[in-house]
Amino acid sequence: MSTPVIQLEKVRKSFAMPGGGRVDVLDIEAFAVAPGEHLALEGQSGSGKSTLLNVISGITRPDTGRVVIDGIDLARLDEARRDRVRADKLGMVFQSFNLLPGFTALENVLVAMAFGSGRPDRSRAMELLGAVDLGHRLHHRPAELSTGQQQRVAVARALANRPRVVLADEPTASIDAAHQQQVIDLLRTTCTDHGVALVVVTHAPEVSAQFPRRLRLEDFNRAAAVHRR
Amino acid sequence: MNLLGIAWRNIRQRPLTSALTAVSLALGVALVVATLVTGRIVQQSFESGAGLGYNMIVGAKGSPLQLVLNTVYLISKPIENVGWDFYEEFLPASRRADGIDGKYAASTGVAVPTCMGDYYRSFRVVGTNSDFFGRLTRGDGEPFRFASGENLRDDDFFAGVIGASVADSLGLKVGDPFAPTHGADDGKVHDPFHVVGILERTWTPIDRGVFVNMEGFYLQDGHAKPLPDGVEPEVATAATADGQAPQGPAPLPASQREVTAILLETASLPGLPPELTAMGLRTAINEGRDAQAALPVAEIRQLLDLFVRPLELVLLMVTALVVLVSALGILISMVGSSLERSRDVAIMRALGARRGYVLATVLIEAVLLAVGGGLVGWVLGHAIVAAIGPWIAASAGVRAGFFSSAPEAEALLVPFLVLLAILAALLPALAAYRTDVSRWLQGPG
Repeated sequence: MSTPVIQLEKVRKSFAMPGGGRVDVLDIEAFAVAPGEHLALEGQSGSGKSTLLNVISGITRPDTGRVVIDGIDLARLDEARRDRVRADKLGMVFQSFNLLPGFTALENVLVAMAFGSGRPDRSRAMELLGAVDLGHRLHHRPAELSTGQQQRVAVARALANRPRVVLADEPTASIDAAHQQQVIDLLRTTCTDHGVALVVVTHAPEVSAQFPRRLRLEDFNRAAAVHRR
Repeated sequence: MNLLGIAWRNIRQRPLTSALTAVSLALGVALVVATLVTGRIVQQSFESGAGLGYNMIVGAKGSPLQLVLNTVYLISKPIENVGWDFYEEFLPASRRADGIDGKYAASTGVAVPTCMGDYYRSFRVVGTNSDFFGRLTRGDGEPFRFASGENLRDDDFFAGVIGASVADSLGLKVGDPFAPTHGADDGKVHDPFHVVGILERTWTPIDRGVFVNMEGFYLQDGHAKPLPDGVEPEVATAATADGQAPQGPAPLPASQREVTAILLETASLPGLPPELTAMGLRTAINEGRDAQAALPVAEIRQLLDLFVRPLELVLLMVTALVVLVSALGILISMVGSSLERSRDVAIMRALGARRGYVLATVLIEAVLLAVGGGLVGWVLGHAIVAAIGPWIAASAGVRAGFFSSAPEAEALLVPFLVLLAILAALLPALAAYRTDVSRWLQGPG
């Protein structure tokens, strides 16, 4: 296996409880994603899916352990540098897509570019939106787009800074069954076309069933396994 | 898309709130600008009045400020009058009936008598002679010029010269008759005079004056100094300023003449600076019992220091409070939108925006609102001055238009607004800075 784009070693994360004491959320011995790999992370509510994504993206620091993104150890970086790694190396697709409502489709992609190391490239942003069949909706705001079109803007935005990995957090959770397949197809096709690794976090077995590699969080996150018991 | 673009998008995302915030600030700034500029105009009007072609005013004992206000600005009531014989003390032998130099003639360059107390409509009537426009100069040192007609002629007793504001306001033309009223604009109507000249605008109080030949002025009812009981009126022998014998009605005898003020341009004596001549003459007059001498520049400076500047300061403080309230508007607007902003901030942070970037976006948004509103307010403030300009010109005789300005104070406007916006937006910006991304974007699990 070539150098992983995501590598976690001995990662632990716990949170303080309101009434005192702490609760362990992540306890991962090892976890890695290879370049271009498509992976489904399956987990129930409370299994630590969101915390894992926050740790991978550098939003949350683990209590212990290493998180290495495309060869860069996030533990060695201050918050501003972790932000830059997130902008440059990771593409994010959120549940409900989380487009910026005041910005057009094109501007949503350009904003993401503004946070990366490169300069916002309008023609590339248009190209990305064209690739997801939104060339005719560049100047529409999210409220003027259908759910499916918003999904496609979110995917185009995730690819804005030529990331090594796209992290999709429950991308099908808030849409009907008819659209779920479209989203998964879109993510997988687009990431394949751009040679980008894809990690989809989902609690839906029918979604994870479509991925060549599937992991259940409970199987490698000892904290989640404890909760289950 | 840069910081500015993102901040601008945020503003457009909440058009109503943003517009109301900017409008509130614009109104505050408009008030400040209008106050500053009007204050500056008032100051200029006083300073231009002080720059007339004379440096001393002699009049009856009393308040020197009142003497200056009445004589220079044609406002306030005359104090009292001084006798004609006292005026003659400033005249050289060639202009006196007795052929002897007056007591103060050596220190006097030009002495112009004025008589006041009448009105034409709402404008002050000033009785004087042709020396006023012939030997004195305007506030800018230039000679008086006539838009039409000519100067008073001392042999035309019922001639009048009117200022530009009077002509504009009343539509008077050369040749038109006008009859002043005694003591007030609704007082007893005097004999009619006729317009012989209309002055070019001077942007000084002169524009609001109606100047008539003092010989005609003296002949009006109630203008002759009453004689003591048993004293017979003498026959007039006084020569006019140009030395020619008057035609028409006989002039009022010198014993029955009085003047309200004497405008003096002191002489430059060999070896003495003019200021010293003026000071010496002033002391000499003030030590006597007949009259007082006032220096317009000194009185006006004192007036500015005592009344105008403190008043201006109070007005400025009030309007500054308005701006502070507007700044609170920015704060409230920013805090009010912080909830909806939190989600957007969380999205941007998740996409890789640094905390400092988010903080800067909020601050720039506030600065854009403040500077945008401020610029609109600046234009509005000048528009207010332009709108009231004709009224200021008519009542104060000074130029006030859109481009009137208070450059020193206005130059501070933008830096002040930027600082104000930053202070007002600091709390919401820090809230955005501290936005918890995981809280706002957390999905199940």
